[in-house]
Amino acid sequence: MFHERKSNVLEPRNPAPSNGFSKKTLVSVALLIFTILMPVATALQTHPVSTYLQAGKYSSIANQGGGVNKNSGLMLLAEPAVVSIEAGDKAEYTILVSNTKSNEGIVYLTLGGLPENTIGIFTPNMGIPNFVSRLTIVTEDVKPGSYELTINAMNRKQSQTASVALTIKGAETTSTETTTSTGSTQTTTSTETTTSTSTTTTEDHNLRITFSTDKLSYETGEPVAIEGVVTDSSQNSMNGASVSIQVENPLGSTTHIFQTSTDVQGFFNDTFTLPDNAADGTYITSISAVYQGDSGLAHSTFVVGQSTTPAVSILSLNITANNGVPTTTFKQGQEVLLSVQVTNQGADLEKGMVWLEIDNPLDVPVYITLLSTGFSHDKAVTVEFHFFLAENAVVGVYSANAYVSNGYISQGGVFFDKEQGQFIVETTSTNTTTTTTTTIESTTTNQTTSTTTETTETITTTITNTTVTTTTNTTTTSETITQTTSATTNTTQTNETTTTTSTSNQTSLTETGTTSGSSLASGPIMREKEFTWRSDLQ
Amino acid sequence: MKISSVKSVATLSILLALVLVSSTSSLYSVRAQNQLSVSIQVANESGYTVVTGTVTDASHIPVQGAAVSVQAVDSSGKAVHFELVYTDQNGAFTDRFKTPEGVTGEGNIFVSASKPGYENGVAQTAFTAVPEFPTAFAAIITSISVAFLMLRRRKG
Repeated sequence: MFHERKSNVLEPRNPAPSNGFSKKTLVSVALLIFTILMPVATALQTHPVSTYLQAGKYSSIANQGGGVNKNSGLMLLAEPAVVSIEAGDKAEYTILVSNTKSNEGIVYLTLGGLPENTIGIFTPNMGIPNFVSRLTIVTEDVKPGSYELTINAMNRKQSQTASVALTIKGAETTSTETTTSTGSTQTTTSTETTTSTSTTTTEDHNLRITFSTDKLSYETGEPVAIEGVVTDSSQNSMNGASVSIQVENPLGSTTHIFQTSTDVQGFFNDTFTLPDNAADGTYITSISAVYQGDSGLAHSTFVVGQSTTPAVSILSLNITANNGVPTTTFKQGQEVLLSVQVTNQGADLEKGMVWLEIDNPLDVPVYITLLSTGFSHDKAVTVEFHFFLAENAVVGVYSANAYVSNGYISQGGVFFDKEQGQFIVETTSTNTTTTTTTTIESTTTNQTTSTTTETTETITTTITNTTVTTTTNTTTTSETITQTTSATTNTTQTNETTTTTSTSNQTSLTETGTTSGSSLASGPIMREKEFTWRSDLQ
Repeated sequence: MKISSVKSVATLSILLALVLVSSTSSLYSVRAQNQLSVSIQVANESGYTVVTGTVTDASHIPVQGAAVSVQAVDSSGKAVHFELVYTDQNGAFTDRFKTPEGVTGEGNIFVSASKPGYENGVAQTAFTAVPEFPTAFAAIITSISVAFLMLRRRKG
């Protein structure tokens, strides 16, 4: 596996009129602006999108009309321009998404041009700019040749496209000449964006729908903007899929129905205004998509006024290495860190639960855990799960599914939301194609600051070792958390708020002088600015 | 005078009782109308446990878009699977799963159905875990089978 670097600047399909600047100058200006704006936008963002930047390294740049267009803030960079691999290997690209306009909300990433017998995985597949995503292409029995992959980035106002090349080595291999990019701006409206939520549901469906509303809660008479993308399970964008949007109010009545279809990049959107007499409470948005016999279904919630019931949803499921860097590929025996960010826009939920199931490529669960905690109104909580892959873990694509509920289903509880993620496990001997790592910034969001005490209990089942380990933990947490984890490997991680040290099979959270210990082979960790941690063995 | 008052009180009481009875029954009918019912079936297909079911309201009308939460536990009560699915236009849902390696015997599947405007419905059924052989164990079995077949061919 190796990389071929090519002439890197992407040409717009509809080039802008010459303005006297060379491409190199424009690229330099673009990178300079990106570097300046990155920290500003990161500070402004409300989502804890893990961010890192390696300025000057990106070779594929896409933005509207080429160069830097001040009217279009969205920029998309992909690196490297070309990756050459053998069939059966994997290729990795780093995608950098930035937006000079901070109020345009979530940007979705989709893919086009994947050859047969390949899967594309974005980690993450959406985020609030500026953010970095890792695209991993997993190949199986692919015909040798050169393939142009199209990476689409879009929000409700504009979209950008970048192309990279994937060369499968073999007798028929030909060189890829150019990589091109173009951007197009969609409708421009003057909607202010504060926060968003999104959901993806694909169980037993072939199409994947990822969508969000522009806010988590609304007042009566306010407009609600819905946007999303439809892809297949390989992240290929679905052009012309029929999309049906239905919104139901807390009384179970349908308040909005809309039919549309996806554009060439798989994108759809819809805006409607809540009636002045709209009922207070939790609304459910259900979106279905159909394309040539394949279908998909996704749900999400938002709140109007004050909800008397909890409205808990998962904002994100981030899969990273133990140092917090977004990672798609792990080796056998390696640690996988899964962070689930949960928010509650409804009434306080004293005893909520976060569940996580990881299935191996054979669909066999290898990790099942759940954590009980309270979710206060208008607060975001991040729960981290540390999963250690077995030394002989099955190689292939793993799926991680996170859920939130109001209790055990066996005791009448119900799941509010679900979020899915994927990662790849390879043998320890396999080489990786690309490695790009820099600073990682990890954030925990507290939408409102308040001093609360919450109770948490943890039940963890580590199926890989066929052992069930449960523990008691008591920890008080504030801004800084120190965590000690026991495992076979020793790792040290430091970032702004968290310090992780691994020594042997023990997990403990330490904060503002209060310590507690636990013994979890792979245990969940909850981070919030102010809370009390307690975990009971069962 | 006294008799007429007693009559009036009695009439009023009967009227009140009638009003109460009718309002209670109408309340009951509203509540019953909003109660979700879940029916589930379990089957084993190609190594998967398949849970299918239907969500209906009190009038047996299928409910579309109901959230169906599924939790499977093994014989000791440990969670071995969970899932969130939604009903289609026929009120039907499906969940298929494998159990972790080493999980055998009979367990239970719990299902909760929910939808705004309705009261949650629950259901429970037993299931027998489809044994998931460890990969190494499967490889050994395959090797032994191949060796046995080869020996038989040689002898033949």
